[in-house]
Amino acid sequence: MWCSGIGLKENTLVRLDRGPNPPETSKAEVYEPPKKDPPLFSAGGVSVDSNGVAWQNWRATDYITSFDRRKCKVLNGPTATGQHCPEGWTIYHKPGPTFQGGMAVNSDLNYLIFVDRNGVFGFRERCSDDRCR
Amino acid sequence: MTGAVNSDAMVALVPATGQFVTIRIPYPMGLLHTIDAGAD
Repeated sequence: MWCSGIGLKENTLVRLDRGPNPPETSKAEVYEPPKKDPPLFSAGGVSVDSNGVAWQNWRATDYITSFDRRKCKVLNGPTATGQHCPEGWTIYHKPGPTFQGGMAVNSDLNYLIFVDRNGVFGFRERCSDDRCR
Repeated sequence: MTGAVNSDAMVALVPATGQFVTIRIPYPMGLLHTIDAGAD
């Protein structure tokens, strides 16, 4: 199970493994995205695709991120302090018009996120030809 | 996919290419400012 807080100061992504007898056997892993400028904060939620990759939108800074836990060299232990799996993150910056006056943020806002697991919108097919490889 | 508040549109990210696709609702500007959706 994946969860993400929503809020201006929120940037953690949590994976919760319930175990066979929750809550006694439950374990949580906490991940933070790599530090960037502007920073990633104000997560809008999380949606998980069929490969187990967790996708997040970032309301305040126009980013969309994916986190693939399978790429992590460290999952837990004393060095798992949040910033321990930069290799799992891919960061996309959504282009678009910004506010007048030079603010470096887009004038729209990524509110929530969902993964089109079944390809309803046809983008899977869109990328099955040579132009997308 | 994400609903882009203040834009009359939804935005899709195609992971294979990193391309963003804007799906804009063909309505007069300002009628729709907050959109959210899901796919079953």
